[in-house]
Amino acid sequence: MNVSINLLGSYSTNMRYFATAVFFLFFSLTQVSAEPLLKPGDRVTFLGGTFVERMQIHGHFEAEIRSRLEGDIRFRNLGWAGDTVRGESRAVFGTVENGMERLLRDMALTNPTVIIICYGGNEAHNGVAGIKQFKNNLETLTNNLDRFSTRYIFVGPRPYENLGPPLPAPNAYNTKLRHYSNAIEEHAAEKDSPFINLAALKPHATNDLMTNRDRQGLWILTNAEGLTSNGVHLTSTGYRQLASSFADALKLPLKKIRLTTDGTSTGVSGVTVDRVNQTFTIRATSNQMPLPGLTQSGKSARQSAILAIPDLPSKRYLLTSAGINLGIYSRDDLAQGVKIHLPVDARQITELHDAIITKNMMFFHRHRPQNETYLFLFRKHEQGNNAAEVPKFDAIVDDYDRRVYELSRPQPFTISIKPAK
Amino acid sequence: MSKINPALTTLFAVIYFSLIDTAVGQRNLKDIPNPDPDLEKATFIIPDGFEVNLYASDPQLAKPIHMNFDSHGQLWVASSEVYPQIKPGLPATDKIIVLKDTTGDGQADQRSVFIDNLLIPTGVVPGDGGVYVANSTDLVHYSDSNGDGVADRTRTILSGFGTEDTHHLLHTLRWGPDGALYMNQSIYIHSHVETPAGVKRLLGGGIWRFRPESMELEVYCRGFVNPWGHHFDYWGNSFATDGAFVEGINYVFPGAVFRAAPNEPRFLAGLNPGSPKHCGLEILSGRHLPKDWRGTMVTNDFRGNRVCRFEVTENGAGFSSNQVTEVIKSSHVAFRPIDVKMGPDGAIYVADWYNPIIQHGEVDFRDDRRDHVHGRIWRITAKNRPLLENPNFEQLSVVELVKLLEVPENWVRLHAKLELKTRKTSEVVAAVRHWIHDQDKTSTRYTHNLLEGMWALQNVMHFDPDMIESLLSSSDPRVRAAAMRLSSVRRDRLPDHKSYYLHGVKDENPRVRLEAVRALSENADLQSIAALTTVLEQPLDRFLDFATWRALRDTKATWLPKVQSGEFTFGRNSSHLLFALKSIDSSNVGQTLSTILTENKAAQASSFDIAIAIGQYGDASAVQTALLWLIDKGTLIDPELSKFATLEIITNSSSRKLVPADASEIAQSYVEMKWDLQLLRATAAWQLKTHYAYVYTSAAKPSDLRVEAIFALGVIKGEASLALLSELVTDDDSTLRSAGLNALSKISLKKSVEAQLADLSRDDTVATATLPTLLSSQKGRDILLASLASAQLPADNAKLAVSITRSTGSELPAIINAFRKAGNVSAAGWVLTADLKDALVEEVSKIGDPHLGQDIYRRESLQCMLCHGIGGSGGKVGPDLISIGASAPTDYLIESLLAPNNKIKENFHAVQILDVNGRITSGIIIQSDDSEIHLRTAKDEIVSILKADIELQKESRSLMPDGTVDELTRTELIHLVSFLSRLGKVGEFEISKERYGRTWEVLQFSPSAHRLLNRTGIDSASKEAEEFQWEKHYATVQGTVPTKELPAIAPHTADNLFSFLRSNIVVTQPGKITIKIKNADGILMWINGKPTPLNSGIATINLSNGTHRVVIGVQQSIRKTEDIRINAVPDFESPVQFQWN
Repeated sequence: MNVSINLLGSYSTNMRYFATAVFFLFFSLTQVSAEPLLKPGDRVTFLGGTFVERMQIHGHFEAEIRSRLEGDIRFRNLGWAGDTVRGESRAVFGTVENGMERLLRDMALTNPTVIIICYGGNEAHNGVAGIKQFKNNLETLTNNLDRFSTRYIFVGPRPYENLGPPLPAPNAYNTKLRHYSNAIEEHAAEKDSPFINLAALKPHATNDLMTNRDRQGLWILTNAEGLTSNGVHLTSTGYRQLASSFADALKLPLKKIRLTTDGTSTGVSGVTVDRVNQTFTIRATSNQMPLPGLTQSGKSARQSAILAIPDLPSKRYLLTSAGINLGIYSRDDLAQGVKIHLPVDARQITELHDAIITKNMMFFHRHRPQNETYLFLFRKHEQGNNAAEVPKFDAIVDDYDRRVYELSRPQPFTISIKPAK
Repeated sequence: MSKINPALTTLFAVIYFSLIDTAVGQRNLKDIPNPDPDLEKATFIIPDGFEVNLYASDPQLAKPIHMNFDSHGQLWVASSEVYPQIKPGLPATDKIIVLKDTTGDGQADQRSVFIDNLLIPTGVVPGDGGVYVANSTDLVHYSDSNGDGVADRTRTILSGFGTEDTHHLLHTLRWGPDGALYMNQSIYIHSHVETPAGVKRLLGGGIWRFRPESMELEVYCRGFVNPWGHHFDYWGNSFATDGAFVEGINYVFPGAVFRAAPNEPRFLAGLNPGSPKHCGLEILSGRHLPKDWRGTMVTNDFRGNRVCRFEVTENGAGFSSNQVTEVIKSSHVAFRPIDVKMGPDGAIYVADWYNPIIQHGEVDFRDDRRDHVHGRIWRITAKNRPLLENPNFEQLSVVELVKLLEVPENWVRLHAKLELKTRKTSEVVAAVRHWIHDQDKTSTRYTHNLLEGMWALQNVMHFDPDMIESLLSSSDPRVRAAAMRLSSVRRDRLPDHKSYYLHGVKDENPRVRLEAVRALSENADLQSIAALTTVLEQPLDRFLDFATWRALRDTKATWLPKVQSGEFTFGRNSSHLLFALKSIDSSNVGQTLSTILTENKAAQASSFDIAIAIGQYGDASAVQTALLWLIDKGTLIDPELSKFATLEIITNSSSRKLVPADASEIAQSYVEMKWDLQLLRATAAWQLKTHYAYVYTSAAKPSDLRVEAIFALGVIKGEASLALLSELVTDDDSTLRSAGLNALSKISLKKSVEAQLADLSRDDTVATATLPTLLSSQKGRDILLASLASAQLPADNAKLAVSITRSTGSELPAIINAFRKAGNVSAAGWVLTADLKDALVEEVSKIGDPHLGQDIYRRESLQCMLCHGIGGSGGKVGPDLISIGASAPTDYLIESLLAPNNKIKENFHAVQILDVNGRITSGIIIQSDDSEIHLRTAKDEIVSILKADIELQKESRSLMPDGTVDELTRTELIHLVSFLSRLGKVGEFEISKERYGRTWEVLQFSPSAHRLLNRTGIDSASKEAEEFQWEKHYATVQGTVPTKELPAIAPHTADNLFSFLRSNIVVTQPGKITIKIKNADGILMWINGKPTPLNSGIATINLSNGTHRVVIGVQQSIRKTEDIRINAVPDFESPVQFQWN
């Protein structure tokens, strides 16, 4: 029999030591109570320029959102560098109108329930003079997209950072940008859709970030990157730091850690008690993903919990998990409640992250394959036979989606509590 | 976008391995060479005094695409085994490999893989503490933070490069002397790149200029098909090569536009038209190489398996280029040199992609014969000359680095400047200043050292107006030109920049003027635009002409509205104004032109130019003004010119459907002045009923204008026209019949089809001139097909009709069959099957004779030469075949002949256009501008169609019709394939570097030509005469014209048969040329109409700039079977620059 333990509630048990055991979990962000903008079962398509396109190779937005949802959700990325609401970058050999056709064709491929639209940053260079045109074009875009889904989330573009010379000063651009952001907000209101203003989102800053991989693919600490590499485009750190705030703006609360106990000889789920040695093991699950802000010590501010255990027999206890020392605490402190850092399965997190990136890449090969000229366009009579390979990516992407979901599900971990000398 | 974790992709490969298509490419492999590098090397032919060795080979590397040395002397190689296309289920595993020769023996003994998860990386260049890699859609910077030789830090620098074709991806990364990273892309690529200054878009080919520090990204030049080579000479001039655009070395300057740029009406030509395709470019320098090699340019003819070298010299605002002896020639079909760089030891390094199959359009992605595992780097050194030491740049002080700017090795100066970027700017500025101060002003290197100093400061983003101004007034024009360019790039930091350009546009040196013109166009205010046209007052060569034309086109948005409103008239200088108007596609400047025309107090010759321009650019009211001006004022100045201008205006304005308000009155004036032709044209163009009677009369009676009048009947239509034409289409005079048939087809297709079939029953059928008209509309095709059901035609005419139908470029099998049936002609033809292909491949290698094949290729009935050139000599409808044998496998050649539509070369895709008149035109788009599309048809004619008139445009297929080689026997087909398969391979069928006259015109026999020669003597063949009809004739691959192919004319007696050939020599730098003719017995030569004696077959002549006509007379009785080959060479040490044209 499995028993779910409400973290903050009380429960009945005949296990004396844990009769009043309570875990308090504190999160670094305040919980959002409003209705979430995304829900399990959603098929979410991101649409936009480089900001969206590069989400593919960083993967943080998807990982963050998944970590906060109970259940599966699917993401497709239709970012295309330099794009505008007219689908200009997607025109390939054709006219701008062909760009919109391509956008809609690719959108059909993603079959979305929710479309997240992140445009306006490229158009903003045109200044106030271009606003009216932009609004009209945005309206055309959503009129075209309504056939797929009317659940939109509109995202207002980020201002440029001032990184100093020789990069240009962004002040003039940022002034123009406000008008475009306002225009998008107005349109969102007309469509009765939520609006997230990136300009207003405070990146969730942590120091000491691991942003690169060693030869085995594990995170290593490198010099801290800024939020953007050139004032315009987010670095991996930038995406990571913005991901948390973006998920907050989606009104997705951090997932609560759920302890699942299983039957033991004592009759109490999840707790094994060695009466002779006075040791205890707690099995729990967590998928709070500190990505990639995993610190060198493996700790994460997001992974802290308060553990309170009353009436323990010995004076001092050593808490460990997966070989990591979580600290030595006195019986009294444990009775009061101590803050511990929950262990993190770095391997799972790395694999999840990689699976998301690979899934994105496979979808990229699907909707934007190389050699289009020979596969689908005016030289298809030459290598069009090879076009049959492209839809094969569909099954691969689906498989990766399943793998991503498996990797994003809560994984068990254990804390052992032993008397310390 | 490619960042895949290696550990995961291994797993991935296991899971999806079962998905890989195993059914591909089961054909037997043929002619796959042994990959042993020693065997490959044994085929290399290299110049005396040089040797070649293997620097690196598989398994150290596979499939190298691009390479560059770093300052430590390590060679960075981008390689791809995934090319041409990633397979679903397999990971992207392409690599950046680092090679180093640590022992100095010329062989790489150290090898490491820096990155191994790339997707077809097409460019690699070390810099900024790591390496820049062109990877799929991105430019990425990779670096190694812990010194283990493996990249662990990845920064995406730019995103949004297109991937529509994997051999067109972002490539050819190159640091310029100015500290910018230059990057190329090819024709099918559409890039959209976000920068802090907005989105930069480049659709089609071109070269980008990028400063990573400031994220400044600009399009440096546009166009090209595959610009796979780019390098800077000693003075910072850019040169590019192209892997499909066959003009050898190209001189590149900012704003230049080359062939294949979308929506452009005009392109800058390269320096070696008729060259094979090239890949890579390195301008040689350094003390290891002999003096005469330094400054020459090396590029690879990857199809012809050779490494080529060119001597490039200054010529006006641009350059001239001549090919010289190859660096490597090989007969090894898998030797594919594709990149060339100078190494730290002063040797030449060549990347050999090693593959019997190139390209991926024509040959299946999954063709088994594609090599994915081999690759070599070859190293060429000069024997007995010392190798160079590589400076240890990192260890040198700023002062020592600056001192390196004096050395002759291009790469050392470049690495010194790149290293200076990492040092403290203030120290660099101080060191450069001191160094310049201490220069010996009398040294020959002085001016260049100043330029290097300026570039070094530009590298560290420091700009010193005083220094730039002193360089702008340098005595050396090469320095002035470079300084002009820099002052344009950095105008934001130079307060007085405009005054530099205004001064520069008057410079005595044409290249300085060219740079100033470009700078002014980027300044783009009206004063700058007016100033740049003052360059027209000095001589223009083709480079300066192009730059000026381009500058005016690029600034159109500024000046055109002001010209339209009359506020700006280029200072009322009509030649400047007309030059500007000709630079743009369409405009509404009629009012301004009318005002200038009518208000000019003293009418002058240029007034006629303005009148003609009104016909091109004016509205109906302006056209009326111009026509009236020609009647009233023009005739007083020059009546003939007035008549000519009138015809031009009527033609040009009526194609824009403009009719002057007072058309009748104007036509009445023509009646009074007896301007008969003008009256005919005006009557038809403006549909003037009042003058129809005149058209009928002219069409009915013999007169000079009769054909013109018959044409007009078709335009004005009506019962009377129909009646007249119905008689004319049965006339015994074929000229009248032909004109009548074409005119009738505009009134009644049904009647015209009937008449056409009647004509096709005659021996002297005019179908060649008239049948295409009927076939050019769907309705015409339908009626023809219906009428053919009951028709009977002479067999020969039916065959002719089939051939005409095929040459339309449309697929019309039903009509072809109907013609065959009507003529009772069997439809035997070649049908391509896999078995036939295999059998033919076998037979070509066993019994194929390329000499007999060449004779078949040259047969008039096959029309090969009409469509294809070989080294520029021949038609332009199909791809040039110069190195087809070296690049294409035999089975591909067979397939291309028997089923031409299966594989079509890039840039040779036809389109079909249906216009508002129901006319269907098939052709290849050669230019497209705002208002018109220009197509090259299967007949090598250029047809222009107004975009507004296009009803439907669709992609079509090859212009080469199926059944082209149906007339050949199996043996003939084998010989023909054998000939094609030898083209470009070392031996008799490679195009020699000798400058033989290859494109000729041959005098045709006609009674009138015969009479004229008889009357005036053979000398008159060297002059222009209406009696002479000259037809294009092309030399063989060996440069000869077979005497037996020449039509003979017997001016005096039947025994004294003569033939005449003519061509032109275009001189761009005057000097002495020697003409050499082997076995010159019976050969006479005239140059510019003057008899030029040949002494033992040799004549030396002094030629000025311009076009010179060369006419050759051949006395058949003396020559008999001897072929003719005319060679032109610069006389000893003459600076002459020329080419046959």
